[in-house]
Amino acid sequence: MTNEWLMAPGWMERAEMKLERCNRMTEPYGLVLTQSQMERLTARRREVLRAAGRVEFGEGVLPRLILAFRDSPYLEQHDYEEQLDGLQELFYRLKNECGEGLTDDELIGAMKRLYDGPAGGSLEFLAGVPADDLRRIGRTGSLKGTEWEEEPLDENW
Amino acid sequence: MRTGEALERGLGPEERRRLTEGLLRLLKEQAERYTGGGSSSIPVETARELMDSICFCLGLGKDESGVGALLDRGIEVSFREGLGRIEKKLAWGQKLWSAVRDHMPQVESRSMEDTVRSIGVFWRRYDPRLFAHQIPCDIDYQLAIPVPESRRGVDYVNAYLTRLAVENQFLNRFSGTAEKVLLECWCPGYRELLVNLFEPVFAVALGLELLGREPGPLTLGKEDLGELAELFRDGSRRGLDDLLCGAADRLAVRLEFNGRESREYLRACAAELTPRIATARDVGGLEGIFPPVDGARP
Repeated sequence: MTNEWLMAPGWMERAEMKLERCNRMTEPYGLVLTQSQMERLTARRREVLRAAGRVEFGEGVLPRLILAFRDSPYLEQHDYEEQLDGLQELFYRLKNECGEGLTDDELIGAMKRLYDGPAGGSLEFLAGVPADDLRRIGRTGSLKGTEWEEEPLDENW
Repeated sequence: MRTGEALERGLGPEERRRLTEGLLRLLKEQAERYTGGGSSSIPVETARELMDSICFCLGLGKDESGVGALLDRGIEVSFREGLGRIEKKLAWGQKLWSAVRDHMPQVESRSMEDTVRSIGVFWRRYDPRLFAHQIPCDIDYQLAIPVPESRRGVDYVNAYLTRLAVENQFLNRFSGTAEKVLLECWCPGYRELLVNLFEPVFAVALGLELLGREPGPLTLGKEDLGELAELFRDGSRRGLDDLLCGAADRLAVRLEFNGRESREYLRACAAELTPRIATARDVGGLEGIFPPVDGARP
């Protein structure tokens, strides 16, 4: 039997309702998804899961990405949907690369730390971060020990 | 995949829907257990393995006849009961393994020793809650009659150990010296090679039984092979089968194999020889089945 039954749309919970609730929490940051944007992102979730070869239970990772990234200086309303779509796709890809040793929250934390820091909001940059670095950042919550580790400020600065 | 087989076989639409929903509920629970609740998604391959394990615990994949009862009982309840059955099988298997380990034959076999040692690791590595269908150990030693690949998890290991126990029990009925002489003639590298030790010993013992001789010495000469060829000459396949199975029964009585399953196994091993003997009878080569030890081998 193929894996089709695992990817069947009927049993994965719909995420739109949760996204609506997210809107209320992102509005103060000037970030809001329209109904059609929510539907597109939810539909894209299935596509990116299929492409990543993963099966998801529950409402999906998108609401958690939204809440984690809502205060990022690099998220803006004009390309909000596009950025979320990219983050969602990247999350599942990186999840595969990092293996089961990193929880969803740790990976999201690492992505946010890099996105707001050395990546400067670039999804391409995030896509190129080695899995070992992601694991290290995810577990420690810091860039220490990676090539992006901040130099301590000179005392005379 | 077993799940698919179960779902696609003759179930009605309602049963199929209930079964699918129940399996997916279990899969979700198992995925949470697997990730420790830290991940909302898992790779498809892992999901497939988890589902195979669920189906193994539920006994799905054999036939659909029990699905109705399983659904009426509740799929979660049936799953827990399945896990309970596996625990009992594990307890039985460990006893069986200890018995096999403590009664190894006097003749050496690297692959048998490695296999028995590796099965010792199985009890530690086996994860019945998540991957009950898997066999996390190396089983290299060849049995006279292999366990069907359709057996999985602890079922496979227990079936393997049961057969190995009978084979080794048989080997232990004979003197190690006689067996070593026979095996040296049959395959000088038997200690290191992946060969079954029981088969040649059993065949020679069976041959001696057929000739009405005491099997203990495990020695068949050139003349004995000639006598056996005469014995096999005119029989049909069926007649040959009866002849060999009858001898296996007598051998079982003589060697005090009292268990029904072990007697049946010896009969099955004898029946395995029928097509080989029928071919050897027609084209020659009985010594390939009944290895001689006194220079009768060409």
